[in-house]
Amino acid sequence: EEKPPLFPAWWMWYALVILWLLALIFLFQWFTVSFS
Amino acid sequence: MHILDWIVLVTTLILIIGYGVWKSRRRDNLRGYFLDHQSMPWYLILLSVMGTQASAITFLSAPGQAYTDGMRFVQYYFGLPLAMVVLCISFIPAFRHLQVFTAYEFLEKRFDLKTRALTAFLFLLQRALSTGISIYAPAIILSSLLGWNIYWTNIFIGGLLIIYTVSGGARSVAHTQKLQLVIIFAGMLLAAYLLVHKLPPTVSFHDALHLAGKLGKLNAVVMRTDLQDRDFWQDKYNVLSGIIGGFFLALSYFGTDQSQVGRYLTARSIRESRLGLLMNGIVKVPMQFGILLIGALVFAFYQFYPPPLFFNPAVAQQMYDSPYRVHYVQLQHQYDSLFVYKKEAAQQLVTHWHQYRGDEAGAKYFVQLQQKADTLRQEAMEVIQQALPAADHNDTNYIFLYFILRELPQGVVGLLIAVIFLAAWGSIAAALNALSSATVVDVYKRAIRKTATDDHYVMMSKWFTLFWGVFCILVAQFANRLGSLIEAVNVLGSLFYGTILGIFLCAFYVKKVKGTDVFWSAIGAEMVVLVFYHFQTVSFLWLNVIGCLLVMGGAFMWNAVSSRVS
Repeated sequence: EEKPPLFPAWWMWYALVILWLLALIFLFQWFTVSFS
Repeated sequence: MHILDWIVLVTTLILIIGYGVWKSRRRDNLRGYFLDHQSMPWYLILLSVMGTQASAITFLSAPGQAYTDGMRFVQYYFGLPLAMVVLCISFIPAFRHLQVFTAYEFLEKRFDLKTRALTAFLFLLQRALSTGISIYAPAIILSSLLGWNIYWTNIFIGGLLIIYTVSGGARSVAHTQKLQLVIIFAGMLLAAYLLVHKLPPTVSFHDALHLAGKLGKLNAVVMRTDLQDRDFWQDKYNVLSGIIGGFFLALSYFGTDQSQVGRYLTARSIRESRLGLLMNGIVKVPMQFGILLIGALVFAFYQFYPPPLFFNPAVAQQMYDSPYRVHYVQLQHQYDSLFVYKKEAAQQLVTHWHQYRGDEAGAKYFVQLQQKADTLRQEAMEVIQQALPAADHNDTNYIFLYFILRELPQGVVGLLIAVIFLAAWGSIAAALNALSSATVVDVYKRAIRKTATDDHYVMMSKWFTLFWGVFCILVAQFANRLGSLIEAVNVLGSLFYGTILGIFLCAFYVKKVKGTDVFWSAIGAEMVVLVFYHFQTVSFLWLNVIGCLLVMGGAFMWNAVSSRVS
């Protein structure tokens, strides 16, 4: 294993990417509703 | 196009392509030729992965897709970040550990030769068909600019690309991809800025979004949970089909398609590969959202400036010389007079919004006018299909190009066309390179000539580049019947990606399954996927899930039965 940058473990990077996706989906949901 | 645009276009192309070729001049052995010496840092991996996926289709066809069908296509990318995470956990360590040239080499080490050959065959077929479609996109631009016949333009562009790839183009792309992507994003941002800037002074960006939203173009998220309804499974884009189907499609594309695997295997280390792919997962969804939003804004723009009845001027011109001329001109007049009413309705709506007044009746009237306009456009496409059966009677791929050529300032047009061209150049050269490398490594070197010098294999890979290039040009000649190109390449990929992914997942996760088990279940799964597609049982994103699960389930059962018999 090689250490990732910023975080001590890779799973934290993976969690960040998944949280980012969820945040985007909620943002797009808000966008869809507020402009329809 | 203005003379200044031509100067900018030609100068940009010569400078960028020339710089790339000059930077990458050195002789190489087979490993260096394909893997570029495994020296890339993560940000170059990111650019190279993004540049391979973003061909001219992305920049030309996606805005048109949003113009005609709204932004719901963005949901197809929701599975991509999840796929990046799985790749980082499973695929990258396995590929790196085994030191493979191509992803299919790994399959022979894990299963047997016939499974490797079957998977390589499915990849070659799928990638060659997709690359053929991608050649059609820059050909659309060139034929629109010069008034050339589209069939000859396909041959011209394909020929240039073959020469470019054979002379080391795929590697020279690595040197210029960074610059190209920066210029492309700057160009797209500029196009978005000018779009908003050119709206009437009383209409703000916010108003434009509201108008596009009223007409259903900002449907970026469609939540559906009616799984018991058959219509749910045939609906092309919703959150569930995007996350689940898009996940399987992205996992297969990035994890098993040599044109992508070849990109991140060139990383300096596993750490750099992982970071490159994770960053891809972070930036990809917002990037596609932005490109689709430009399409929705083009739609809002044409609420205030008269749009053509049909966005492909060459075909519209042919209609004026056809026996159906009277009918077409009549439709054109109806469309033009409808536009006047629609523009007035849009302006009234905006005025009411500015006075903080809702206007339900006005909004309803506006929507009705748009439905009439859509009906007229549909009718025009049907007339075109009758009058010119061989012509492309779908103009989705021409909408953004039409806007660029007529509405953007001199100089900017040339630059934007040049970078869209370069995007095609880079991704097609990479695809042709992947096709020839898989053919040499998985077919020629494995089954035809097992021992020869590296020079011989490098030479053969050039001949295979020529072969696949000609194949792709032939495919491009049929691409004008496929409608929206960005949808077409994904539908086509979905026919094969599920099965290929199933084979790889068996290799990684199901230890006791043997080559023969996987081989036969993959053939069965591919048949089922093709039958489902033919009868349109489910929408295309679900085909990826079905293909993959069938291969894994089939291999498991086959293994259980055969081990009991023996």
